[in-house]
Amino acid sequence: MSTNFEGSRPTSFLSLRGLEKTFRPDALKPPIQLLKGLDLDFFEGSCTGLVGHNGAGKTTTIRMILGLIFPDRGQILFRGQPITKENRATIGYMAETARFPGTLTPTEILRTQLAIYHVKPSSSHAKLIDSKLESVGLFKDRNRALKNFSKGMQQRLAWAHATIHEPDLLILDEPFSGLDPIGRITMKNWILAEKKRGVSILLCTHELPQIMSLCDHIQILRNGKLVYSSLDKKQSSGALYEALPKYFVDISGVTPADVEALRAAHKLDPWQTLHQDGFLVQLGFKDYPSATSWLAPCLAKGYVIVRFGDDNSASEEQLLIHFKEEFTQ
Amino acid sequence: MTAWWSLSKEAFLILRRDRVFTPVVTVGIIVALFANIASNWGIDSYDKILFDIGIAGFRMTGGAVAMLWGVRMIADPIKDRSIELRLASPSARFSWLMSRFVGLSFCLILMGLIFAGVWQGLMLLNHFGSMTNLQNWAIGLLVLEWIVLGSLALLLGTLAGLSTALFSAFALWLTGLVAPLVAATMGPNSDPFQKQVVEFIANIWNFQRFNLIDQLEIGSNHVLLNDLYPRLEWAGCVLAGCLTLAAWAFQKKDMT
Repeated sequence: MSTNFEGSRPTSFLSLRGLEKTFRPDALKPPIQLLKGLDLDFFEGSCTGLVGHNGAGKTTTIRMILGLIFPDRGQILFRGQPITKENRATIGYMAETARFPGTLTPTEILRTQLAIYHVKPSSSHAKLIDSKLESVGLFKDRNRALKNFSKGMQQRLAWAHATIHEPDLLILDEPFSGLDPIGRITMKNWILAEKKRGVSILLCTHELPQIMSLCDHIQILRNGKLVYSSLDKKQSSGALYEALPKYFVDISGVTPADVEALRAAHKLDPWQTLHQDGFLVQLGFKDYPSATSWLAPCLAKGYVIVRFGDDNSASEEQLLIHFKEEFTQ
Repeated sequence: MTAWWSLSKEAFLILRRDRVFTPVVTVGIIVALFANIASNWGIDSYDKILFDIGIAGFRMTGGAVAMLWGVRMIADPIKDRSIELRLASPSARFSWLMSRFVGLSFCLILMGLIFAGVWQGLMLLNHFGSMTNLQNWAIGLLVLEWIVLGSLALLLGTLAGLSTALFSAFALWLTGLVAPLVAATMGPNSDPFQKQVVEFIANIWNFQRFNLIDQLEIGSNHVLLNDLYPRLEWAGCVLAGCLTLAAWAFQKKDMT
């Protein structure tokens, strides 16, 4: 568990200030405001996790940093100055959904990448490409068309593509997506190696355990706004993980009011989180005794417990529920 | 290798290996062979039948594929999101767009060279000897027409989705082909306003400028430079206009 952020706030090298973006998907449809005055900071040499539900604005934020989408309002600052094309030469990007053209080969993709990032000398490109492909296990397939590649192979190529020019900042959008368990471990090790090299990383994933083990800071977005930053709370991602509920009781056919009445009647331990999803109420507890204390009263009342147990690898959903509680209180 | 050249080469390779390339070249060759057979059916002017069908076949096949590729040069990378990987880099959007155009142009030129080779083969088969200067210019202008259509499609691809852009490009091409013919057939009894409108369109949007088929005949080798210059100038203006507008629109486009 990474806990290297303690105490004073480090200096930001990439800052997003008051970013706003509204899209109109169709002339007849109402506009959708994706970002609502978003402020974010990223720090030199640290790994920052960006978390949020689908549509929270994570990908829009990343695309704005990369210059793919233009903000309606606000600024993106790189070391205190508005970000430029040249600054973007120091960024490596691994996109979740992007696919390379199927008729090209890994060698051709990486050759173009080195050329557009002006990596010199060009005479060394062939060697560099071969060693990179070797390191991601694609050397044998270097001249094969990408349309014959599996999802895992595509991800490995995407990693090679994002890192071949040795960027100072790596932006990773769902890097674990579609990988098998071994592939995930490999990807995690690659990210850790880059982190050790001093590369700043912006990691955007739905996999909370990966964020918890890799990131120094966490920033949570909801509806285009920053709702939580571990920096503001002076709290490391490890401490945040510890604060999350680990044991859950899911009760069917009840309302939060019913649960509250039950708690008052039996003087039960309070829950840490309560999440209602239709007729299902999920209670989250930090410790096992608190969770088990609810079982007998619920059964006596005739409530149906559809799940009881621990979740050591707390999901992203738990994190978001946790902060929903925090911000609605 | 410079960034710009590298991106152009990538665009060229994508098109060269595109599944459309081989069928299109095959169709062009089949049309040329059909023209050769059809020329034998005529009682007279078999060379005219050969040129009319053969060159028109090349023209339509190449024009259609130029528009398809021009639109797809923008629509495909947006659809598979590979555009993000190329634009999230220090290279400018303008460079990326122009490199797509250059890659497309090279591929169209390659196709033109293949068609010219087939045409030369047909000429030799029919004992007409080597291609004349005029015939070279006729094929050269066809390739130029494809490149102009490619730039038009590229512009439309930056403004709209694949099907809308493709439909609009075909409609504009058809207008450019038909308007001069309609204008030529309008007599003194035609409605003056309609006549004025059609003539205006025919003047500014005339794709028959790329057509030298009428002047082609065996033995004719007379290329009038004074006749060629206005055609080349017009092509240059349309190219410059389309690419400037495309670059302007693309510069402001959000890659959502």
